[in-house]
Amino acid sequence: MDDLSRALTLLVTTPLIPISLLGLVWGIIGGALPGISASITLALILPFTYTMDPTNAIVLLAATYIGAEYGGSIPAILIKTPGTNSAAATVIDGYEMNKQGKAGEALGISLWSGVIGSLFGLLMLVLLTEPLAEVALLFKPTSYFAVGILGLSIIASLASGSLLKVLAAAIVGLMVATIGSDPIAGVSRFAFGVPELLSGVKPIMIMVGLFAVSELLQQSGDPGVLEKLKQTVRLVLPDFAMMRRLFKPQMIGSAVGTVEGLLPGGGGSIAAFLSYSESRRWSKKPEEFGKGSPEGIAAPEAANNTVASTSLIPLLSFGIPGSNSAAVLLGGLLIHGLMPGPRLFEQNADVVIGLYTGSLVATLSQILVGVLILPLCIWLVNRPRPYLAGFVFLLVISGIYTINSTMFDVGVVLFAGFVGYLMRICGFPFLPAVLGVVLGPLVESNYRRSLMLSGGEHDIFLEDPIAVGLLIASALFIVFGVWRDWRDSRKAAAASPTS
Amino acid sequence: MRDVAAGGVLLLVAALYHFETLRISQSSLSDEVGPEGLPRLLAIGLAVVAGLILVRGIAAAVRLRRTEPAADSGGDYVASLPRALGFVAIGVGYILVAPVVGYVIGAALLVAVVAVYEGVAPTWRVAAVAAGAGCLFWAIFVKLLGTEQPAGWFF
Repeated sequence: MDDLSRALTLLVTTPLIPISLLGLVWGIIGGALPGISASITLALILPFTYTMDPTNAIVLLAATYIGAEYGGSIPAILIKTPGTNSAAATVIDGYEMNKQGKAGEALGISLWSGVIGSLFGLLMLVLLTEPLAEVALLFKPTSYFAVGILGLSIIASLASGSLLKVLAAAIVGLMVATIGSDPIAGVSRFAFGVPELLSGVKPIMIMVGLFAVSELLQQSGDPGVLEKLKQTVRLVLPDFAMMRRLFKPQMIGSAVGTVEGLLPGGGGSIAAFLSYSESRRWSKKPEEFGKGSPEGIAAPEAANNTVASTSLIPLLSFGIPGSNSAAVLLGGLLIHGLMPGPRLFEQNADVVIGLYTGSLVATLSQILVGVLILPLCIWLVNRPRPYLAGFVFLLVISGIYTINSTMFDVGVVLFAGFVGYLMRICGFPFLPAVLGVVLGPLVESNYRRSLMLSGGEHDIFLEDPIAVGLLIASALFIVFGVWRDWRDSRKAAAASPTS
Repeated sequence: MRDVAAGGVLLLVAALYHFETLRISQSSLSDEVGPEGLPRLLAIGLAVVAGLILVRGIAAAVRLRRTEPAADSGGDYVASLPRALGFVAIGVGYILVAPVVGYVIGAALLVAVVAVYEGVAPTWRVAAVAAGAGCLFWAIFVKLLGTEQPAGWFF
């Protein structure tokens, strides 16, 4: 009851509603632009949250995430090009419906299923996050060190790509985190006499560089021959009979999205494809899948919108971001000095309640905003790619400059973007590197604090049962990663023409 | 070939990083691990991982050369690299020019140069879109949001 009254107070006394709507609009637009994923949409707006009140900043980011997951389905349905990775499954039946002259219906199903998925995910977020965070109350420095290691090892084992490349990316991320003053003695490291480096490289620079700038570099020179939409489209929401038909795939999508969101490394794309396949399996009309089935849109859209909320559960409880977008959100929390875990719920309850309330506002507003800004999205989707590239590049640079008002930061982001481009062409994943930058200080400072407490004895880690449990789990995840790597390389060898 | 190149570059990074760890000064406030403890571990870790990537890359390249001599020369990636570097150079150009000419003109120049670089013919339309973009971004970020942007001759 108390939380409800605080939520209402926040709604009345703060600009929570306009901020949610702004985030939602930006998210839908960003998600609708092909090549701009949800994480890039978040990374682009992240610098502008620097000067904002923490609650408003987090609400803006969460609403953006929710909007981007729906926005991704617009070009997926209209021009067969998913705006975000997690909208790839929506292309299958969405575009088929478009070809049958039912683009408006397909967009309506996507929007309605997104709302259902978001509401389900939000409910899970509210119910599960705080109890899980209570566990973290028992944590000591040794446990926090082990949490950092677990976060890195989970991603190492679940992230796509070769384990060696995942490890290399994580180590490079940790190396970047060591730039600046060390967390215990304050000694300057790797600053090369550059004053701007003394305070370290902010994770936001690495995120924007890796996600946004590297994408621009990757797309540079791409003629971008996207199919143009000729006809006008009017969004048609499902009627009651259709809503009943969509309910089962939406629930399948929401359930899959909950599990995938809770698992670090899962993410919206896996949830979308998994729920698509499960919906077809449980459907009364499986033969319609792939030929313009409304259920084939409902399941993946409910799933990826659920993940937008449930991926915040491990993030808020333990500080472990499960996806690229959650990593950017973690960056948003850290910018404002907010550490995920139980203390966040005690010391910054307004931020948490604001996050829940703002997400609810964004979710409920999705239908109205979705209908209103669809023409704008269609207009943007049809813009020539060279101009879009220029606008996005200017947005990145302008946003980064606002943080410290120095061109040095812009240079760092360009450098990170070029490194990200090289990582893309060499098949190195970004998430481990981002996690290395974010979790590096947590791992190092708690490791050293633990040893200071024990007088340099490593036995202290064995005396903490939580740390032991988490470190064993980390080892198991790494063993799983090694096994998966070995299995994949054997499969690749078996599939090669010579074998 | 990409793995060989990546492994080599990472080995170099590990070596340079390790060299820098040797230059980290000590402090009376230092603990048992010290400010150089983790960096040293990271340098060794990266060297090991980079070495494995390199060896695996060489083995794969040798295997591939035996079966398909013309395959995986890395030509596509090498060809796309100058384009990416050109894009970065445009950003560097903005860093140098914007503090002199100001945000509005800097932003307009950036949009125009990127559009032309990406294949749009340099016409008055590009100039008009770029000028509009400069004014729009200035209005939103400087006037509406009140954020600081480079100030030069003009705005």
